[in-house]
Amino acid sequence: MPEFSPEEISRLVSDHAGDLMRCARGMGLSHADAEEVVSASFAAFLEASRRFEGRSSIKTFLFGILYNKALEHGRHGARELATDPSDQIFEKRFDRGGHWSRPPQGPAEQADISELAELIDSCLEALPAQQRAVFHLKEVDRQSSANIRNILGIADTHLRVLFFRARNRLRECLEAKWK
Amino acid sequence: MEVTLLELLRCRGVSRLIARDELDDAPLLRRVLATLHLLICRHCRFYLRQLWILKRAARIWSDGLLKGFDLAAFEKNLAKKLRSRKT
Repeated sequence: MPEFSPEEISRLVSDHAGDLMRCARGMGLSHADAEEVVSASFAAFLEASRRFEGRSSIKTFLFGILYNKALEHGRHGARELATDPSDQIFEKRFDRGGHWSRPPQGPAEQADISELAELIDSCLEALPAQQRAVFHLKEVDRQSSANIRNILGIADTHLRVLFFRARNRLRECLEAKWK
Repeated sequence: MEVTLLELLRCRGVSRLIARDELDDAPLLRRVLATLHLLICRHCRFYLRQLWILKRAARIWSDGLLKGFDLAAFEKNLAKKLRSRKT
């Protein structure tokens, strides 16, 4: 791929900077750190653009760079544990027959959503980095599973496990705060 | 690990399938079993609804994430950084 012209760089930045910034902030970085990471991601993309083979979209390629830079920048490790505390918490909600022993409680109305949006920040803060990234890319950024697998470099089964854990952790956290 | 057919008769299996976002892509028989279970189980319907609410709340929360972000200033700083890298 040839080098980008200033006009192409400008278009690239206009098209993707907002989404990348939202994602970096969604992964828990401060505003200043997110700007630094997004900026470094564009720089890395322009340097690596010769390696970009068009197998994924430019957006996916950029998000992949951003994800790795955000992990380097953040304080959380990338490694996901084989067992997550949320797995056991989920299991404990059911009896031996597999039916709810402690049915879900808490918010269920459309009217509760704004209030929940204020509580969600601290719940997201407690998520491991990969779970947080999966939840953000899928639920907030509405990326397809195939794109998320490319961005994070993970298999489909792993993606589903991470998404399951992230949603259960968040649901449990919000249920506990909703009193 | 895939949720077995037998598990889809139980709340744990159905909620696992829902939380893993596998309901829409599941083969017909699995979808039918899970949907029938949801029709008769209010707790699993409540769980499904909460996951939907969680998504809506996260999207509203994310609206505030770009507050203070100035695209023009960002672009200017980036151009400066790129120029300094070249020299």
